[in-house]
This record gives sequence, C-alpha cells and structure tokens, in this order.
Amino acid sequence: MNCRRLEELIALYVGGDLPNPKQRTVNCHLQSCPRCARFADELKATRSALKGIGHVASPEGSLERVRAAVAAAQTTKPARSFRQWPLAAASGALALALAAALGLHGRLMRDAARHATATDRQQAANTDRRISPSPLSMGLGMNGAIAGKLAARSSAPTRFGPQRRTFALQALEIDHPSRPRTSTRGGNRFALARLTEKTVPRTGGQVRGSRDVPKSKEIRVKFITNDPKVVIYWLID
Amino acid sequence: METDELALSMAGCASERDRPVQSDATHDVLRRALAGDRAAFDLIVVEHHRRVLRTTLHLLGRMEDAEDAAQEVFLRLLRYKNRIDSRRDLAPWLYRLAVNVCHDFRRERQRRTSVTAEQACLSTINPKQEAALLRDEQKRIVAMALETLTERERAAIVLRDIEGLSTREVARILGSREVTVRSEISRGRVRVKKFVDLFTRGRV
Repeated sequence: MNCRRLEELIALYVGGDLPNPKQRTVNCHLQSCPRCARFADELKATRSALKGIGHVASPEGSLERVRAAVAAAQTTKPARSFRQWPLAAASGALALALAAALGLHGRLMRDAARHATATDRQQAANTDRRISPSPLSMGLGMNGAIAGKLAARSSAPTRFGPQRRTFALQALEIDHPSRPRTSTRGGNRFALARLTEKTVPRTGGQVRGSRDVPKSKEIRVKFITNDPKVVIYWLID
Repeated sequence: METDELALSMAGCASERDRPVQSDATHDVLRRALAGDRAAFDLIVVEHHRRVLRTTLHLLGRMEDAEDAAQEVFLRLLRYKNRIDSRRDLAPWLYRLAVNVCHDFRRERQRRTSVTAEQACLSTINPKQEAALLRDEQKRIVAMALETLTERERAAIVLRDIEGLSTREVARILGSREVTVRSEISRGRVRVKKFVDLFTRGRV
C-alpha cells in the first residue's frame, strides 16, 4: 500500500473520523508499517497538543465588557422611530400606500411580480435577492403605524435547501409621484407583512434607487430589512 | 461566509466537552432571552462567554481581536435573536456566529495589513516572546501552527479538535459537506504536525 497516499487517511484515523471499514484498513496497515505507525503516533501527539490549547483564561474584565456592550445595545432605541419623524407627508404617504395595498391587493401582487421581473433585471441590481410579495397580508397597528414582522420563504437553492426566513424591517421608503421620496425607520413597529418570496436571479451592477424609477402614477414602497441582502419592493397603482 | 447564510435548522449540534444539559431551566432562560428579557440574555452571555472567547481566540490568534470578536458575537446574537429556535441548543448558533465574525475580522485585518499567514507566524517568533515560548512552548508552537492553516482548515480544526465537536456538527456549522470538512481536518492536522516538527527541529 502506498504510504504517501495513506497520509490523509491516517490523519483522520487518529481522530476516529473514518468510517469503520476504512478505519480497519488503516489499522491493518499500521500494524505492518513502522513508518506509518510513527506518523500516526506523532499525529496523535499533535491532536493532544491541539486539545491542550483549548483551555483559555479570560482576560480580566473581558466578560464585564461584553455584558456592558450587550446591555447598552439592548437599551439603545432605534435610530429614528416612526413617531420622531416630523413628516406629516410621510404619514400621509404611508397611509395612502397602505390603503392602496389593502384595496388593490390582487393587482398589487401581479404588478409587483411583473415589475420585479422586468424592471429589476433591466436595472441590474447588486442585491442577491429581490422579493416579490405574494401572497401578502398586512395590518394597521396602534397609532396608525403598521406593526409586526415579515417572513419569506426562499425558493433560492441554498445549501440547506428551501427555507423559511424571517426578517425584521429596518426602514421604509416611499416614492410617490406627488411627493418627494420619504423614508422612515422604526424596526418592527411600523411594518407587518407576511409574504412568499419570489427570487429574481442576481444580475450584478448597481442598485438603482427609487429616485431612478421613472415617475408614474405608481407608488413605490421600499422595505429595507435587517438583512442587507434583502430589499423588498411594493409597487402600488 | 455571509451572515444571512446562518443555518436555520441546526438541531443536535453541541460540543462533546461542553454539551450543555438541556434542562427545562436552560430552555426557559433561552426562551426568555430571545423574547427580550434582558436579565435572561445576560445569563446567556455569562454562560457562553468563555466558550465564545476560546473559539474566537483560536480562530484569530490574538486575544485583543478575540475579545472584540466575542463581543460582536453576542451583539449579533442579540440582533438575530428572532431567527433562533429556543427549543434547540444555542451552542451551534454561537459557533457559527463566531466563525462568521472571525471571518469578517480576518478580512478586515487583511485589508488593513497585507501580512500573510507565514509572515504573521514568523513575526510572532521574536526575542521578546522567547521567554513565553520557553514557558509553554508546545502550546505556543501549536497556536502558531494554526496560523499557517487556511481559514477553512483552521475553523475545521478548531471546532473538531479543540472544541471537540463531531465532524457532522462541524459540517453543519460551516455549511459544508462532511466529506469536505473531513478533507480540511485531515490537511489541517498534517500541516500542524509538519509545522510543529519543523519548528521543533529548527530549535533543537
């Protein structure tokens, strides 16, 4: 047997990482080959040494620093809450978008899907995925704000297969022909959407912002999620 | 490795050495922490900090970086808590976050300084560290040997040989196939051994 080729197997053998038949094969070879047996012994010593460096003493104050950082992050409020935005226009546009979304549900979905296919490919996005919402449900929360979270089922092939994912919404941008683009941030407080994702293949290039979309009668709502790779658009006639 | 590639289903992954007892109390603490209970999240930090720091240290090689990375791991855990299933073991999530965070740290470090692994390794062998080498030489040499591995090999070796996870668990955490991970583990062990041999012979 070629000892050189066995090197890789011996490295697995010493950790018990081989299936039984191969484990036995390597074991038999080691009985008859002193050179490989020595190599295996040295690898065992290396593995023991690796285990030996596993015990680490935390530097003084290390844990406390992490606890303080986490506590600070927990007490930090979202950068801009919905209520803090002094934009009545934003509220109006949001309410209009919601009303339109709820009222034109079926059409919204069809339009969104069509638009995502035609425009997004044309506009060369650098995001991995764009999501066409379908089906969609959303609701109004307290103070007229939308509240909740957003979930999507990815149909993209991942190494774990299709999977359901949940995103928190970080920001919202509304592009309306009669108003300047408005945006708001507020985490989960303002948006509730439950949708199924239709993945559009990555096309490369730069993301074209809402401003780049030719003005029309449509309202374009852009959801920015907590995942920088996922941006969701609603297009409302 | 991207953050959004975090596995959504990682049941049954836990270290042989550190496998926590999945008692009702543990689940309850995790459930409350993920639901926004600050005190419960603090308990999670206290319980897992040592494990996370150990992993980031071995992945990054420098304690100051490892501490920053460990902190970032818990901040990301806080940020992505909605994605975690409280009924399952938290350890695989933490390992995965640690691997991702360390990947980002290394990339950032490479951007700042174009020091190769070999140069970094050689740079650690200087007269100032001679005393430390003599005090605990074997550990130092092995730690330096880890620096010579590729990022993937290093992650596989740290999780398999230092943290004591099974090959299957390592594969799930790294998002790879088992056969790939076995290959990385094998190459990593041989390279560590050869580095130790060379270094030891060079010093004798």
